[in-house]
Amino acid sequence: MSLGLVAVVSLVGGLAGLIGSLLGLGGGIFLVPFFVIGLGLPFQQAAAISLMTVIATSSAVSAGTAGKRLINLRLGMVLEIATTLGGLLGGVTAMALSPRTLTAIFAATTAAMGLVMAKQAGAARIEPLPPDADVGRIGGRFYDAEHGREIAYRVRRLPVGLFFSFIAGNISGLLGIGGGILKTPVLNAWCGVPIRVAAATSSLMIGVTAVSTVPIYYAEGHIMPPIAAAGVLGVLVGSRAGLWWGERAGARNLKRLMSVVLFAVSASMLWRLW
Amino acid sequence: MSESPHDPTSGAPEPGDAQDAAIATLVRDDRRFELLLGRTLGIGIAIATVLLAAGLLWWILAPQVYAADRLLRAGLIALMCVPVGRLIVSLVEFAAERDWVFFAIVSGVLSVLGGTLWVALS
Repeated sequence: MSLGLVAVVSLVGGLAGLIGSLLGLGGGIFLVPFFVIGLGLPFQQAAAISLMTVIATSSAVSAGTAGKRLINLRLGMVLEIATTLGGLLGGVTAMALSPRTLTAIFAATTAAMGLVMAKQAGAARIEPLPPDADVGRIGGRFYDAEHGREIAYRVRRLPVGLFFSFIAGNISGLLGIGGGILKTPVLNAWCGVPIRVAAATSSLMIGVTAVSTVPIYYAEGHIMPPIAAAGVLGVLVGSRAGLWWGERAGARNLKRLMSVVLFAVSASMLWRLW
Repeated sequence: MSESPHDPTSGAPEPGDAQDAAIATLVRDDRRFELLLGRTLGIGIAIATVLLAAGLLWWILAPQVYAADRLLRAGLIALMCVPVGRLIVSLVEFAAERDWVFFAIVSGVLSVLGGTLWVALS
């Protein structure tokens, strides 16, 4: 482990955090391929460091959005039962699989996500309930600044949300990414949660989800502290810069670009297998 | 002025007023809870960042020093504890609200994390 490596990791962490927050993704989807292809780290080490950065961005972003009533805390905590179970299982599975298999799964998953992203027309329109409607225990209300009104919504098809949260947690634990890219569209399109609430709630959940996996990686010795620290600090700085920049440039919901990025990530991982 | 039907100080309350007030209270409570959890996460992330930055600086200056490694590991473990701290604060909050359903749900999440720790240590 050299000083140069630490410097490179913190720079790349910063870049991943920046691009990630601009595109509304976590940085993990870039960090894992970079660690595997660029630095030649074993897959499990790459995933472990990426998961540490997921905890950091989740906590920092949620601390920033708290109070805007975008995070549906109760829904998040219900779904966390599923994501943490998925994460625990993913972590155990990741210890048993070869780095080659994990790289292949990563390539397949990012390609599938790219496909879904390319097909998606955009955020589902949620028909808001009347403001005084009963939203149930896990429904919610938030002030939609874009349209200048209070939006009340009920959560529908909770079992579907739970199922996909489990899958997202599983992928997160296995591949070292956050998994918000899967949960957010499902919560929006199938469970009736407004897109901004779905994204903010998912951001909150990925931190706990990563904690359901990362101790397993840590105990197996897959985390090199100086590199993990450099990655975490880089991502924290980068994602802050991305949020600041994104608010000014209005760069949001770039679905087409996201899809291209995902295909590129997938292709690079496939290339690595050859 | 007091003719306005939505003026809360005017005479007899409108039928919707009680419900509006109930919603307002709910919304305020949720916001307070959200801010409390946000603060918990913010403080946690600040502690972890300071430990990691100090550890990394120490490691850069003197890579062989045992204390630098300890500090880095302390920072990583602190980072892992940040979301757990948020769950524990939620647990206390739900207990205070006597919301036993959500108390059980958060306990469930914490038990899964306990399972992770058990797997990691065994």
